[in-house]
Parts: sequence; structure tokens; C-alpha cells
Amino acid sequence: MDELSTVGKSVPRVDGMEKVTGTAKFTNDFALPRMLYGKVLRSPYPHARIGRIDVSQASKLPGVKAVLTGKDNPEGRMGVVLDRPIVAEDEVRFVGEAVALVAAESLEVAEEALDLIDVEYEELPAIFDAEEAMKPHSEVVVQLGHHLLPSIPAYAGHNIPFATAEETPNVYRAFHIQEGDIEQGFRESDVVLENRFVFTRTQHCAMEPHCAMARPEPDGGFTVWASEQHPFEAQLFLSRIFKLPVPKVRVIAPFIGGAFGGKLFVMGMPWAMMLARRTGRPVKVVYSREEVFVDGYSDVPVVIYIKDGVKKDGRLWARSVKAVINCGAYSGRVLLLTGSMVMGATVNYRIPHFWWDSYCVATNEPVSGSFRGFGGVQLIHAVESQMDMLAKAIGMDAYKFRRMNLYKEGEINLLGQPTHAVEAEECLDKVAEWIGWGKKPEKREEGPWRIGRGISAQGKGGLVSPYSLAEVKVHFDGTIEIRHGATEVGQGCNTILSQIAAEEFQTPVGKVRQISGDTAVTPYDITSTANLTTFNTGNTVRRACQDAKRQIFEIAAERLKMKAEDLELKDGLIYTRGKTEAALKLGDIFVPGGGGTAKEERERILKKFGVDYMFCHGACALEVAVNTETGEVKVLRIAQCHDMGTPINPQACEAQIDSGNGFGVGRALYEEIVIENGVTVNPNFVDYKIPSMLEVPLGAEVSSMLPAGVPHEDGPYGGKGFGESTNCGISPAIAGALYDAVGIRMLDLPITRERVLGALKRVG
Amino acid sequence: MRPFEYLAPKDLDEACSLLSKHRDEAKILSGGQSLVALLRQRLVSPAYVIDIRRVPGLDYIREDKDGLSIGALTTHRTVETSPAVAKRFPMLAEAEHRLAHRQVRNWGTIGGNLSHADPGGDLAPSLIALGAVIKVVSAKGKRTVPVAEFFTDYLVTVLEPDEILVEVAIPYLKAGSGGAYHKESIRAGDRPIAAVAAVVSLDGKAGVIKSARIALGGVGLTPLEAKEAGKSLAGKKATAGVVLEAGAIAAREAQPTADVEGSVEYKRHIVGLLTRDMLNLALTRAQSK
Repeated sequence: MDELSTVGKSVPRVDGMEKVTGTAKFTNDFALPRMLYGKVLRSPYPHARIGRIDVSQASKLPGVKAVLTGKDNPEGRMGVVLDRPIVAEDEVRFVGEAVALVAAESLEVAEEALDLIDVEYEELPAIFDAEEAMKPHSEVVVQLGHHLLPSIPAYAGHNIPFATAEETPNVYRAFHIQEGDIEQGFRESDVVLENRFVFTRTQHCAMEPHCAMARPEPDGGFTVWASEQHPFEAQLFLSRIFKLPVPKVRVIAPFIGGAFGGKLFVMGMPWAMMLARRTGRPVKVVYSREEVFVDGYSDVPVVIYIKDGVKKDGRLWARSVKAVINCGAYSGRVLLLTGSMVMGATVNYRIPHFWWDSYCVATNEPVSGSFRGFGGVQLIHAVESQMDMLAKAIGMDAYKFRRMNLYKEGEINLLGQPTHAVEAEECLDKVAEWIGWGKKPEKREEGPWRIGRGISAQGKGGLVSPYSLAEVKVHFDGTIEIRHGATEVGQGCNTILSQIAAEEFQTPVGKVRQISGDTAVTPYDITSTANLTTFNTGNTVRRACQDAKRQIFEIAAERLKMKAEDLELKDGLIYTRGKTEAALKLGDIFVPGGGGTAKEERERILKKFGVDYMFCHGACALEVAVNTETGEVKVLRIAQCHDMGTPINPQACEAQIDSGNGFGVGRALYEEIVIENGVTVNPNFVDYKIPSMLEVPLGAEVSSMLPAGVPHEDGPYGGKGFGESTNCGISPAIAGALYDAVGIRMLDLPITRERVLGALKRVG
Repeated sequence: MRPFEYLAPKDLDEACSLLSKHRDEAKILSGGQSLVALLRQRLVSPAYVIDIRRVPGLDYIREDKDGLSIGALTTHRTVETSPAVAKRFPMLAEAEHRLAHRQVRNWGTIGGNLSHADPGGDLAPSLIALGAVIKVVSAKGKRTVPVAEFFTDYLVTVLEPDEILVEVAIPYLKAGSGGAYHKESIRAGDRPIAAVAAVVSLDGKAGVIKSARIALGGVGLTPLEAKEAGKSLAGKKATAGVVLEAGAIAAREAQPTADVEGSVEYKRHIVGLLTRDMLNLALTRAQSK
């Protein structure tokens, strides 16, 4: 296809009007007859043995229909390794863990009932610091030893000593990869630099809090409406928890008001289902904002040790990283982070000698979760801060130093995967040019303010997945209905997928209808996370369209006594190639279905490369002002450029970058869940500081750029995913700009005013 | 939120009689910007909520002979955009401009703001420094209280359970006087790390300070007047050194506690900086008058 009609164009969002006018339906907009309201009593202790629970007073309150405790739990548990009971049983392991559930006729009565439940606790020693919890003989948090966990494939073939479950009982999972000879690498380096970076906990702060509504069905199953990124995973987990056949749990994910990795943990759903099962009535559970902060699977606190070696000529020569990840009291999904975080150090720069160790450690803090970038924010901050310091140590420009070490097309990266459709150099060049890298800023100071500039590069991978299915239904009137299992979490996938279907059928985007996010009626999709949807679901939708078209042409060819390959489709009409008059209307040959999967795509890719991942790369440059009296940092101007193969919808891509700016500035300067002895002290938007539009640059001070667009051979129309790295490069660029402005190097996040002022005082 | 009975009096008399009947069991609702948050967190659980939004005659900004009078139901946005406020007390318009965000300012009223008595409230420091008074009424009668004496503890005022705040009256500044207010906050519209209002009056001959009042927000259980800092300036020539010294005194007079906005040391540091800056701005304004 030479000329594209819809793909590559900035068509407006297909759900824009609904969302802007407030008619779009989110989970909490739904209510059912006889519905009850569910609330959760949560533990005030980080670690305690539960004694007697007296629910008699609460049960007697008029309007209360059920009060449940851990004794009423279904058989199964939550979390990747199924370690979290739905309601705490013998012990509570973090402040905020569910201890009892109430269903009542109104929310007010449910809240009142919580106050009437009397729980006896016997406090137990608790541990909050992951490095402390990792030590041998530390207070044991985890009940399952990691010997019960899947083995660690990367260790196979390496004779690396690793502590046993008995020695480090709180280590859930460890991950290791290596390349070359790390010790030799450091010996051969001219400069070796080592630092420790500390990252605190942050929240996704999706505008829509977690919410689930469960309706018991006559066949013993459930229908569950939920704000959930991955309805098919939820269906599977819920069926395991309640020991039901998978199809008996139907999960419907309507529009989702933001997810960012925070809506992947069947949150709220098992509680609503337990209460629905007991009462025989629909039950809705909506998290308060406080509950989102306390039990919303926030991003992990991490400590990163990083040691780098570099040659005098600028070649990055050796890098070893140790990451200690505080996964909280239960596994959540974070133990996968031990592996995924490594991308921040492996997909951008060529390094002959590399060593990686990561540990996921259980503590008595709230359960951690996945977060946009899945470890990228933390690791890229550490890596890019190191890149600045290394450049300075060998007297090289930070931009040139990065550029010379970037992978080029075809190079095999440290994950053993080929670099493809890479425009990292161009991205770096574009942001450097926009910010005026190498030229002096117009002014360097004004009153107490000092101006500085910083730059960063970043990359992230996304799994090329076989687990994405789509169906296409061509309606009588020429409407193209696509059914897919991806979820519209705000990222715009419905628009992208509409464009792809519209392109295949040569029809306006408005003629495409979508049905998505309902496990009973849409085909399976692995998940709308990790930059996956455009690439995987996009490919799948395209193939399903092609399959449907093939069937249409076969029928039409028979009807017209022609060959199928001589037919074309445009705007719902079938043409003979080269003719301007339509031969048939689409409705004339009504065809009910067609199917396609990405499996063939993956097999083709595997055959060619052995590829499991596609990678995106990008760069960020920005200018900050620092107030030397107060420590306040303002980002004045910011540019980002990211490669994404062929942009399916350029405006949507730019919007992804814009959104990364807000996320990145928040993480760099403001956001931090403060936990004191296990208690979250700022679980609200007054005390937890997310930047408003007044704290991020806007308008002419922002440039969200796309490079020329080298197509990815295997992506839909050459496209690939990239949204997750747009928030990862901001903090190191800010840290670099601060150094440029006032000569202080901030290693930890967030870079608050007080920390800046403290550092300024130390350097005098 | 716990259930409550909603009452909507048609006039001030009815509001007062409802309040004298229900006293501690009632809370007054005007813009709802403070009360609704407290209700939601169940920090207050009144049996009755008395909504005074329909009470006539409490939404005004009036330029009287000696000062400006502002009715309790006047919204922050009205004060922020009032030409009379801009002319008479630019510092007040500036304070309003950084009070939360416009949506809040469209709803929130000055009566609700002051009655709520948040120590970080944006109006109180300026009103204290300007020597404003608050008028309150009840079924039994009325009285006036200087804003400087209005706040007694965290979220507590001198208001009796049956009293309603109805007006704030601010005396005009004399010639040769000027004021300034600034809140330093982590984000625009946030609660303050610290806020400082300063009002100075110069003696006829240039450069000598006749009197100064400095008030602080967000650095104590209530808005505070930094009396010693104000006194330290009286009768002195307005030099950089004198101003800096006043800042140091104000920083000592502040009574901050550590929270997510900042540590005790940082808040005192900010009080010092802001006192210096607001005094300088107030002096410039005083000299131009």
C-alpha cells in the first residue's frame, strides 16, 4: 500500500466527544437494581496477629446486609504468586490491609458499620526498609519462601552463588543477567564511578479511583464491571480465587479513567464478589482516594547501586547494577519488575561488560505495583545521571557522550535482541537543537534564580505477544465492527485501532464501530500495558480486517464471475480494479465474520530474528530555573522526541509525550507517598503533590517531537508502541540541568525544595 | 459522610434562630469548600447543616467612609476581581489570586474561609496586618472582634455556637502606607509552606517607619501576628539591615510544625525571606502613595 488514507493522519479521538461532554460511561456510572454498597475495614497496624473479631454490633445496624471476615474467604488468593488472602486471615501485614467487609443499603450505613466492628490485634514486629529486610535473619514477612516461586532462568548456566530461602527469607525473587567480564571491564576502564540512588513510593493518581461492581448470576457465576486494564487476566484470577470455570466470570471494563499500570490487580473485585455471593445481590465497591493511596498498588520504592566504567575516548565500557525493590507485604505484580526494570540499562547504550542483579524484597509496607515505565523511571534516572557524571569526568559534552554510545540499527542489545527502527540519535539531535544545547541561554540568572539545562536519552521494550485476538464483523450497511480485548484506558487505542480498520477497508473512521473490554463477547488480549496495544492489537486488527476482506472478495468474485485479486474495496463499495463505477455494495454480500491472530506475525518475526521485544527510544532536553534562596525548581522549557516507527496518529503520539511531561515533572520534583512506620501520612491530593498545569511548561515552552519515522518491519503499517518511556527521561534531565545551573548533583527523587536547599548549603 | 438534616433558612433571622436552637449540633454551610471536605472525612458529623446561601444581604463589597466592608457570602472570586479591592487593598486581591484554584474561589466565601480558621488560610494574615474587624450576629445581638483576636486554636475561633460571621470591615490605609502579601507554596494554590503579610506606614519625611504590622500564615495553630517583628521596625529608618532583622525576628516568632509542606527549619527560613520581601514591597508601595 503506497498511499495511506487514514493511518498517519491526526484524526480526532473517536471517544473525544463522549468524554468531553461527560456522557462516556465509567464503572461508577453504572448501578443495578437492589445494588448494595461494599466497604472495607482496613488494618491500622503494619504487622499484627488478629484475635477475636466482633461483628455483632455492625451486623445489627439497620441496612447492613453482610459483614464478612477472612473466615469467609474463597479458596484462592491474590497476587502473581497467589499469596495475598482476599481478606486478612490470621495476620495483617501492612497498614490498610482488608480485615473485614461490609455490604449495606447505602454507603453511609456501610461506613457507619465499619466503625462498629471490633477487632483485637496483637502487634508484631514490623520491617519497612527493603535493604534491612533483605538481610539474613531479618524479621520474616513473606510466608512463602522463594523456593516455591518459578526458577530464575537467567541463572541457568552461570554458577552464581545466591542466598537460599532460609538465609534471606524476604527475597521474593532475584534476577540476574550478564555480558562480558565485569571485573575485567572495570580494570580496563579509565574512569570508574559508583553511586547509590534512592527512590520513594509514588501513586499513579488516575482520575478514576478503583471501582468494581459484581452481580451474582443464576448459574453460580458473576458478572463484574470494573476499572481494570486487563479484563482477561482479571477473569482468570477471579475464576481461580472463586474456583469457578473461567467463562462463569464475565469481566466488563467500560471506559477507564486512567490506569498507568495501577489497574491490573483485580482490585476491589473479589470483595464485591464475596459480598455479592453472600447477599445474592449486586454489590459495588468504590475506593476512596485515601484507599487508592494506601492499597492502590503504588510504584515501588527502589534503591539502585550503579557502578560504571568508561574509556577516556568516551566509550562506555562496563556497568554493574544492583537494584533492591521494596515490593511491600505481598507479591502483587512487582516481582516481575526484577526482570522488566533491566530494560532501562540494556536497550539504549552499547556496553561490552555488564552485570545486573535485582531483588524483590517483602516488607510491611503497602503492596507495590506496576507503574508507567515499569521500573524505567527509577533506572533511567540513575543511568542518565551517571551518564552526565561520566561525561564530566572524562571532559566530554554530555550530549556527544550519549550519542556516541547509542545503539545503531541492527546491533544486538544486552537483552540479546536486535535494535530495530531506532531513531535514538535523531531524537537526541532534535531535542538538543530545540533547547539550544551548546549555546549559552539568554540569561543565566535573575535575582535568586539560576538557569540551567539538562539532557537525557531513554528506551523501553515491549513484548511482542502472540496473545492478541481480534474479530471483524462487516455489517450490512458497510459499518466495520471490530471486537478486541484491549482496553481504552485513555491512551487512545480505540482511535488507533479504528484508523487501522478504516485504512484496511478504505472507509472513514466514523464507519468503524468497536466493541471491547468484555470477556464474554470480545476475543482475548494479553493486556493493555507495556507499550503493547498499537503493536500487537494493531497488527491483529489489521490481519482480521485482511481476513474479512479476503472472504468478501471470494464471495464477490463468485457473484461477479471475476477473480478475487482483481477486486478492491472503498467506502463500503466493491470495485473492479481500475474501474470507477462500483460493482457491488458491501451489504450485497453480507459476511458475518473473519478472524486473525498475531501468532503468524510472531512466528514470522521469531524466524527472522528470534525477537521477543520491540524497543522504543527517545530523548529529552529541558531548561530549569533554580531559586537559590528557597530551593524551588521550575521547569521553564522542555523538549522530548521519541521514535515510534510510523506514527499511526501523530497528534495522539504528541499527546502521549505531553502527558509524559506532566508525569515526569511530578516524579522528579513533587511526588512522594510519605510512609511513617507503615502508615501513609499523605493519602490525598492536598498532601500528595501532583503538579497542576501551573507547574509544567505549556504552549510555546513545550516541544513534543516525532522523528522522521523509520517503519518497524513488523509493526502495523510500521508502527510501534512508545508511551511508557515518555515519562522516564525527565528527572535525569532535570538533575542535569540543576547541576548545570548551580553545581549540585541530586541523586534521589523527588528533588524537593528542601533537598535542593540542603545541597546548596553543602556546596556553599 | 454521616447523614444529617439539611436546613435552608430564607433570611438572617431564621438562620440565627435555627442556630440558637441547634447550637453545637449544627454547622453552617456557605460555599462548602471547607465544610464538605470535613464532612467527607467525618471530622465533623453535625446533625443539622444550615445552608445560608439563600440568605439575602450578605454578598457585597461596600466602600464606606472609613473603610471597605465585605459581606460574609461574598465569594473569593468576587473579592479577587473587585475594582474597589484592587484600588484600596491590592494585597488582598493578590492573596485571593493564589487562594486554591478558580473553581474553589467561585464557590468559597470569605465568611466560610475565616470561620473555618485554617491556620494556612490566605485571608487572615492580610486582614490582621490591616487591622480589620469581624462582625458577628446571633439571636441575642451582635458584636465585633478584631481579626487578630478571632482565632483561638487549630480550626477554632471566638465564635459561640449560636453566632454567624456576617461581615469583615477593613479600615483604609492612611497616606504613606502600603501593604504586601505572599504565600510560598509547593504548588500554586497549595496550602502555604509559610505566608507573610506586611503593612507599613511611613512618617511624612522619607525613609522612617512610623509603624508596621506583620502577620504569618501556615506557621502555627492559628494565623499569627509577628508582634515583635512589627515593633522592631517602629521609628527606624527603612534600611536593608532593619528589614532583614525584622525577618529574623518573625522567623523566631513563627510556631511551625513539620508536615508535608516542609520542616520546621525550612518554614522559619521561608518566613524570614518572605518578611524581608513583603516589607520591601510594602515600603515601595508606601513611598509611592
